[in-house]
Amino acid sequence: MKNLILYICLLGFIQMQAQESYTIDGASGELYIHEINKVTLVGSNESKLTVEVDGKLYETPEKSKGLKLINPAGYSDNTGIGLHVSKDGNSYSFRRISNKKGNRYIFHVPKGYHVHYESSSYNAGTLHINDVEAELDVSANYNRVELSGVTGPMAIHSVYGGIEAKFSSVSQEGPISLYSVYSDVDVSVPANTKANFNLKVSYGDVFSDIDLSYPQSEDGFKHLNAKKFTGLMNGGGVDFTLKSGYNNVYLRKQ
Amino acid sequence: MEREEKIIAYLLNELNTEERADFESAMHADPELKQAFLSYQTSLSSLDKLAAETPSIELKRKFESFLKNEIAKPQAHQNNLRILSPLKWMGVAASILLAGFFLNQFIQDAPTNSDFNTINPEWIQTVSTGKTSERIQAIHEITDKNDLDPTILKAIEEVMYNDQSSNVRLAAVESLGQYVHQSEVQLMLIEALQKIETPIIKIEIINTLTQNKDDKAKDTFEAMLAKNDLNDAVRNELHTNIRKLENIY
Amino acid sequence: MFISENSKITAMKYILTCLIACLCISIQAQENTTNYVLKNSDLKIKSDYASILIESSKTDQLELVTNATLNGVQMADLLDVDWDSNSQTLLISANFKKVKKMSKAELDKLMEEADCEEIKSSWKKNGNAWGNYNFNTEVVVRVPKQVSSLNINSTYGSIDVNHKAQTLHLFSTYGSVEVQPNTGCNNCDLESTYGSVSLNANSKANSDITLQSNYGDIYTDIDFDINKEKSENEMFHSVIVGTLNKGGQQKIHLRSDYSNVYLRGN
Repeated sequence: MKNLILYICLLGFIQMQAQESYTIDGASGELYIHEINKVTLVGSNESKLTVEVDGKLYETPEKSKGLKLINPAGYSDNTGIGLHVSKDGNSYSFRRISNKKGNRYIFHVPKGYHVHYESSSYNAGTLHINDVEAELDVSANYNRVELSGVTGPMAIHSVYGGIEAKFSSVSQEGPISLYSVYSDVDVSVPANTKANFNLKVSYGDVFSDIDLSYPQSEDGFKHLNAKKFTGLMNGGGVDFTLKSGYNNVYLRKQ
Repeated sequence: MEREEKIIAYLLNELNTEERADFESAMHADPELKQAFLSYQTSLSSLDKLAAETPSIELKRKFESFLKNEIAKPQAHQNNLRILSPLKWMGVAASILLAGFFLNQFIQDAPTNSDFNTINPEWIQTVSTGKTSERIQAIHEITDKNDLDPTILKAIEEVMYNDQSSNVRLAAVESLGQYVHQSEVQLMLIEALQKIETPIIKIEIINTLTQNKDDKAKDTFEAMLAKNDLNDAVRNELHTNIRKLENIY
Repeated sequence: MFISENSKITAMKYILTCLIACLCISIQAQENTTNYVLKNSDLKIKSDYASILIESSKTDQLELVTNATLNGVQMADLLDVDWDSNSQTLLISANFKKVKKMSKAELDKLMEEADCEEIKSSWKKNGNAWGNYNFNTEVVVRVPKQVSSLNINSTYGSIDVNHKAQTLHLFSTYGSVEVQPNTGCNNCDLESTYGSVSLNANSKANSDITLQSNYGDIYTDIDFDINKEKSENEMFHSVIVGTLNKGGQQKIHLRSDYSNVYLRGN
């Protein structure tokens, strides 16, 4: 009886938390996310792209009934979740329309998508990327970027935010680059990863528990520099660049 | 919640309707709170203005369109073709020499009798329409040579200005950085530093120019600092690198 | 997700007080009307706390109706009104000091005058702590047809205009600003720092439109051309500049820094 009541309460709670969403059919394409704060990207095995609002969307004002939400770029909310989406062939661009709808947006991304995220806002929050096998292209000013269960290829930079990435495996399909100007870059990869690590720091240090091998140059020397060097893991593989301007780079094996 | 936390939460729209109403009432009743609020509001407003620049889609389209047109042009001057070894696709037999067209339309002042006026159409295709990782790889591989072909240099400069992804533009700056000791590359980067607005690209160019350890970079940095409209991160980078250059001399 | 018992009790108390106050306001409402003679078509109003409602008058005089209550009990002298006939300016201010200066005995006596048992018992039960004071101050200004220019500045009160005027300059710091349909303003300048701003405009007019909100949203049902070059689209700073039909005749400027902006077509 006690459990039954608990389940009923839980069900009620879940219904209260019902999420609003927008869906695009198709398992592949280009996904552009422009200036949307608080974004989570989650890998999906479904053949559709779904954008969910985390939690309940803020209450739509009574006065706005019969009106549409517009922004200075001429876009209006055509998703019903405070975003504008435009389509160009197989390419979808999402833009923030509302200044008030401060919820986190969760994008469920099929493998076949190529994801581009760009944000210049100091209020962008943390960009979470979980179990996404799609190729990633992230340009951020303030976001902290946290990745887990990712494979690459990817190019990610943030001026102020740190980058933390836990790779489930390292794809050999294309280069991987993680760069933060002012914060740490902290990466862990599986022990069997094959990669050419390019490790660069200006004012910080590089820390690692991986036995890297250092290739000889044409002049017969191994060029070792504490601030900028190349190290091969398991004989080398895909180009994998980790860079921090004013902080440290951490490279770990899982 | 501390007073400051509440002010910030209010400004960031993180309070619910009731909390907002409470806060507004409290502000009416408490001049000190209102003063603190106005101070935070002013600070946040100034931060708001730090919107990053992105290249216009029009520019990107123009560039892509130009590159595509070049590919579609008749295959001329094939006898001048030079295979660029690091690129796997460079071995394609039907490579087209584009340099003549490239030079005529892209760079008005480039030498017309260069031995290096070659560029592979697949490379152009890749840097204009490939995935982000493919474009970055193409940029890195083509500059992994001892000498830089002026045509390729110009193409990479175009990528640095026009690519839709700032990660690819960053890769273009990194690649050009290998040749910063060449005066034409140094001048190209000095010009780009003043024209490009994206903070991360500016920061990369500043660090690259500092490697050269000469007065031109320092003079440029100081001239830029005299202006008031700089992003904080860029301003900080200029200060740091001027100090670096001053320690050397 | 979890609301404490104390919060619930406080909320319940608040709701109860509001209900009682509303109930009693309807019982107690009385009009204090003053008339003023106008020399020209310009009218200015400056107010601190009172909400301002502008209506059209059937006469050629300016009629001012004030309504001020404390916990639903009429306090005719709560609002001070000054009329500067030279500049045609109404100065309306809420004199809360009068209440603060009142002794507990005086206040208790005042509450006894309430012909509403709920107020009396609530006052007795909750005492006269400052939080138990529920003020309501509103002013209805009935303006003659000849008034074609309205300039209203309010600090805390809302502004609601339902009168045809060529020029409207309406500003409130904390209150909302609203202009009802068919007001026909040619130069409509509405602004609030913290409240919402709302205009009902003629969608067939040739208008130059500027809509701004920094932390709020902008809503409309009018299809007008947005000038993307003149518009500004930054995080927490949205300015929409556009033209309705041919533009050039009517000017619409709506701005709210922290709340929403609504432009509705008639």
